[in-house]
Order: sequence, then structure tokens, then C-alpha cells
Amino acid sequence: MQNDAAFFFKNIQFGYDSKVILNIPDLLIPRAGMVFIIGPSGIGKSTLLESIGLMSNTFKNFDDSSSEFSILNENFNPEYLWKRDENKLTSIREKLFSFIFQTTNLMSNFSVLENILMAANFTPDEQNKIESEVKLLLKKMSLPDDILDRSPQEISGGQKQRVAFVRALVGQFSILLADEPTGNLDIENSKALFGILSDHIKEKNKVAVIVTHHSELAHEYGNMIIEILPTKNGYATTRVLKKEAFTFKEGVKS
Amino acid sequence: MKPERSLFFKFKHPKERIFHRREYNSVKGKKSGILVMLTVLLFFSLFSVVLGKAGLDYLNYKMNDPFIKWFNIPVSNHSYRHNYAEIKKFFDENAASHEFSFSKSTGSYRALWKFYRSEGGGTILAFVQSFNFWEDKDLINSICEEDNLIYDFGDVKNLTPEKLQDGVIISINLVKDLECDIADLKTNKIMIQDGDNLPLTVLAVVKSLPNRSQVFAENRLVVTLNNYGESNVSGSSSFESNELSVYVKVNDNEARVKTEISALLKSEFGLTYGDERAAKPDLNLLSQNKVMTFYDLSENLDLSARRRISTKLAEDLYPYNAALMYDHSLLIPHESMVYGDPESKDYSTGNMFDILSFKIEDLSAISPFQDVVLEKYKMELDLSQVEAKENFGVVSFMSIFLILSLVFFAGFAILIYLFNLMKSHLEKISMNLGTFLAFGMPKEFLYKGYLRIIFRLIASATLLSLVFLTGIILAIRLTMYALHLPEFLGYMEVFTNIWLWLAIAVFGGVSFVLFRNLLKSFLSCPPGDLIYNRS
Repeated sequence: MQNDAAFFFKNIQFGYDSKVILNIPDLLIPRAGMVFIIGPSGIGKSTLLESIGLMSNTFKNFDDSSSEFSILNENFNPEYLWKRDENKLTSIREKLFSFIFQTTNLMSNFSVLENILMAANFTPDEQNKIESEVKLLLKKMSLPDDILDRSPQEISGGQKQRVAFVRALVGQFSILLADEPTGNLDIENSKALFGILSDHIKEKNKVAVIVTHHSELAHEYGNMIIEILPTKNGYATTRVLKKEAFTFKEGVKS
Repeated sequence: MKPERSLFFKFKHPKERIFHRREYNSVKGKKSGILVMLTVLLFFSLFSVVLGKAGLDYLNYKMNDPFIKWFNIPVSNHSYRHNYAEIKKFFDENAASHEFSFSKSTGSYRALWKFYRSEGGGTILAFVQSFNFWEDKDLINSICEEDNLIYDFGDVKNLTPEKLQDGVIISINLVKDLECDIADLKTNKIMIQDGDNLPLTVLAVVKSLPNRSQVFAENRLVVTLNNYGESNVSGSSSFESNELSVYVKVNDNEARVKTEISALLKSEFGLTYGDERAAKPDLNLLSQNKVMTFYDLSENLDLSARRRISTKLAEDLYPYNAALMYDHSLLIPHESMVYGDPESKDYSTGNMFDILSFKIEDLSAISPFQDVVLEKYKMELDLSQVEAKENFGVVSFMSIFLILSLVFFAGFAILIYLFNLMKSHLEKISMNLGTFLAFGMPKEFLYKGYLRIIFRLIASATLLSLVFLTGIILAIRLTMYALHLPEFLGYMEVFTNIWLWLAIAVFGGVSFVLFRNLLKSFLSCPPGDLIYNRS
């Protein structure tokens, strides 16, 4: 089972300073499919996403004998990584992860294409290939080609969000992490984007871990739904609400 | 794909180029406003350094008088004249005993010579001081010091008596008064009007001469000219000649000048025109460019006759700068005189010198020496130069302190400005940079990227300010004489100004350390903290 895991958690805690806000006794996030994390505001959804995306060190009380944390079947001691091996952190982020944020975080002084290229992982020889891939994704997102040369300030909020999707999907990655990716969009546009995302993820045999408030979207597009809910101990924990049989296909290239 | 190059850097990856171009444009501001502001600030700071250094160099030049250690006693002055022998003896004995460790000159004559001017016509007066070729080596060496010597036409470090027969050393001030180019003095002689007219060879042009004199000549030349007409001191057999040359300055009025002079000399003195030549190759004069020779004289003209002719020409042909000349070799000291024993001739012992000079190596000894001569001979030495030198020391120290303070505060202000600019820029885009880091961009990429941007910004502003500075200095140099700008502005230097480069180097070094620390501190935050603005 663990061989198909994008993430595997055993006895893992997250928190700030000395306070534990989320405790995960045992959880496996599969290596393929759409995985949604839902739960009330402030419960720790974004904290969980930040932590597993190695954006912040909120891991707490990691104990080598009883705790286990793995990314794509490789075990890590996250506290050690953060303290001693920053290069490894950078390398994991570069090779495995891609992100979509609620605020698109596009650089206003860069063109749309430049914003996408800056986040992409490619060698100098692959620039043309990446640009072709960007154009294909633009079509999927119903964005015109000429948007690439425009500044993010010159395009609408919806277009910006679609560009953020393109930025996340282009190039090599294994795990897409999205924090309220359609939080600023209406439900129709959200559905449209999730539809495209779901198709792309399935087509490319990848996994998307998405934090959202919209449980109906989660149920509609999610192969797995993880709910974060409070406990009497003062911290939250996770519960799997839905889990479809959607397995990673070995040998399928993105 | 080949690495991409810009004016400043070589980029290995397209992302580096994109990042550098966009972020540099952002940091330098709208319409390069920040770059312009930085350039202006740097320009004024560097201009202050250049200006301060120029002021100090100018003062230093002015104060670097090779005769600072030389003191002159005007023994021909009424107050000392009656004590002349005693004073001279005192100096001779004390120099020998080295009680005050000074060296002395044999004594000098002072004279006023009238020189024909080059451009403006007419004549000017200049102070002359004499020296003894055989004994005043110290004084000659002071004059020929590298800092004092501006042009050396006659190899003055290897003077010979022959050179000094009609050779003089003149000050740069006299060159200005003569209204000529220094280069012209290499091939042209300057002519003095002293009884008859005498062409002199300029051996060298120097910054300054002892006792604020403008001409420095050997004793015998000065004495010969002082005594001219009174006795046959030149050693030649006769002053009389039946050849008379008239030197004039002509332009396109040559024919008229010739007619006027010929008519005047014929009617008044019965002289007949002989021939005309351009100035003789061996006697090119600075002030006159045409010579007309008159022969066929009924009898040799004596001194009084020549003076009458000279006066008449000067009055009637004033605009032509007319000068008479006989055989000019008659006027200069005879070679045998120059080589003569200095002690046996009346130039050095028989005549009273006008000035006794001495040189004190240790300037702190001048006060006790002043006390002695004041008590003995009621003699007050002119110590103004020594005091000026001391004042210069104070002014120099204050100036250096003020310039350093100015550079420090200007540099500090610029760095604070840049630091805050960069900090607020980074804070403004921390969310975006955090996003790049989350996507796996190495921190080193951003660290190097921003150091490059800061380097380029500072280097561009420095280069621009240096270009403006060079332009301004060039403009000042080209117009300073026409606009009567202060002379010290001519001392402004950019490329050879060590202070300037030191200021730039310190500024660059401090900038590097400051911005390296800022970036290290900023990038030490995890990407999540940058994205969600958690400090």
C-alpha cells in the first residue's frame, strides 16, 4: 500500500511554536488522483499543505522510532531536513512539487510567459519545448496565445487564476499542491477549472492535493477526500471521508 | 543553447536573464528614477571629493615654495646699509660655524628690467634678482627642483657660464605678463629695454623665483646692465658701432612702417636705409618680427646719440614696438668675466649686494635666529612664508577631516537610501519570491540575482556620475580662463584622483557587505513565511 503513496504519515504532528494544532496518527495520500482536504476555517488545512509541500517547518515532536513521514515512498525526518539539509529541501521542491495559491502570486513586472518560465523546471535547451507545452495548456484553459506577452496587471482575475493553473501544470512535477485554488472565483468558473485540472491529472497520472472550502466540489471531483476535524484534545486530526480506487500507473509518463 | 551575455554579466540560464532584466528595471525605478537619483547623489558626493582634493592640491602647490627655507635680508635698505660690512661678516662667520645650521648665498643684486611684450605691444617691468654661478649652487638647485621647474629649455641642471652670458630663468608669471606662449620661448628671445635693447635667452620657466622676483640672472649680467653707460664694464673695447638695426612688430602694414622709419631716421639723424630682413634666424625675437638695418652713417654713434634715437623712435613709432639694436654682443658680459674669480672682481666684493640670502634647513631654528639678528642689528626677518606654511598645515588637516566626514555622511546617506529601497522592494514582492522558492528555485539564484542587480545599479550610477564628472571638469577646464573661474578648479582630476577611487572602492565594499547581509537575512525565511508574510 505504501508503495503507491505520494505522502505517508504515521504519528505526525504539526503546529506553531510549542502548540500542536494537527495530529495525524496514520494517513496515506495516493500517488495519483484528485485528493481534497476539507474542514472548517483555521483548523490547519493550509498548515498541512505548507508542511507537506516543504514550504514551512511546522512538523512537531518527530520521533524516529514512532513517527514516519515519506514522500513518494522515500522516508524523511523533516526536522532534520529543515535544520541540516536545505539543499535537499530545494531539490525535492524543484523535482516533485508544483503549487497553486489562492492569490496567484504572479510578478506584475514579469510577462505572463516569464512568470510561468520562472517557476518551471527546465534546462536551457528545453525552453522551446516548455513554451510549446505552455501554449497547449493555454488552449486547455481557454486562454489566448497573446496573453503570454502581457503583464498580469493587464489581465482579469479569472485569467490570472488560469495562468496560475498553467504555471503549476507545466514542466516536470509529481505532486500538485493547491491551496484554495479557486477561492476567488465563482462556482461555475471553479467547476470549469477543476474539470480541466482533473482531466489533466488523470491524463498525466499525477496527484493533486487540494485544500478547499467547497465540499461539493471535493465530492464532485475528488478521488479521495480528507476531512480535518477538531478533537477534544485541543488539536485537530484527519479522517478519510472518501477514497476511490484510483491507482498510480507505473510507466505512464507525463 | 549558448550562455546569454549582457553588458555586465554572462547568464547561464534563460531564467537568470529574465529575472535580471525585469527586476533590474523594477529596482531602478520608473523612467530610471532611482538610477537617476542615485547618479545625482553619487555625482555630488564624488564632485565634493574631487573639489576638496583639488583645493588641497592647489593650496599645496601654492605653498610648496622651494624657497620656503630661504630668507632674504634687504641689506641695501637704508636701515642696514651702514652696517653692511658687519652684517655680511656675521653671516659669513655663522654660516661657517653652523651654529644655526644655515647655508648662505653670496648675495644678490635686485633690478627692474623693462621687457617688450609679445601680443599687446608696449613694455612691462619685471623684478630681477641675481645669483653667483660659482657659489649659489644651493639656490640654483632649489630653483631647479622638479616641482618648481615648468619648462627647461636650456638644461638648467647643467648650467655653464656661457649659457648665463645672456641666459635667464623666468617665472611663469612673467610669461603671462609677456602675453606669449611658453613654447615660443624655446626658439625666440625676449628683449629688454635697458639703455640699449638686449635680447635674452630664456633657459627655463619656473613656478616661482626667490624673493618674488620674475627674472633670475647671473650677477655679472645684472651688474653689466646696471652699470651700462657709466663705465666700460662689459670688457669690450668699445660701445660704438656704425650699424643700427631697428626691430619692429609689423603685420600687413610693413611698407608703411618702413617708409615712416626710414623718413624719420633720415630727416632727424641723417641715417640711410641699408636692407631689411626677417628676424635673423639666430636672433628670433618674441616681441618684434621684422628687422631693418641702417648703414652708411657719417660717424659712429655714441651712447647719447643712440639714446636720442631710441627716445624718438619710442615716441613716434610707439604702436610698432620699435626697438634699436646695435651689436648686442657688446652688452652681455664678456666670457672672460663670467669665468673670472668671483672674489677678485668688484661685482662681488667691491659692490654692495642688495640682498643677502640664507637657507635654514630646520625651520624651527628660525625663531632663535630671528632673536639674535633682531638684538644685534634690529633686523626683522620676513617670516610670513613660514607662518603661511604652518597655517596651511592646519587648513590642510581641517580640509581632509571635512572631506572625509562629507564622504562618510554622503556614502552613509546613499547606502541607507539604497538599503531601504531594496528592503521595501523585497518586502513588497516577498510573496512572489516565496512562490518561486516553493517551486524549487534555489535561494542562491535569488541571492546572486539581487547582488548582480545591486552591483549593476551602483556600477551604472557610478559610471554615469564619473562620465558627468569628467564632462563637467572638461568644461570647466576649457572655459575657466574665459569665465575667470577660480584657478584651483584647474586642479580637479578624475582618473588620477586616488581619493576618488578610494571613496568608490569603500562605497562598493560597504554596499556589498550590507546587501549581502540583507539578502541572507531575507532569504533565511522559509518560502511559506515569505508567501504568507510571516516575519
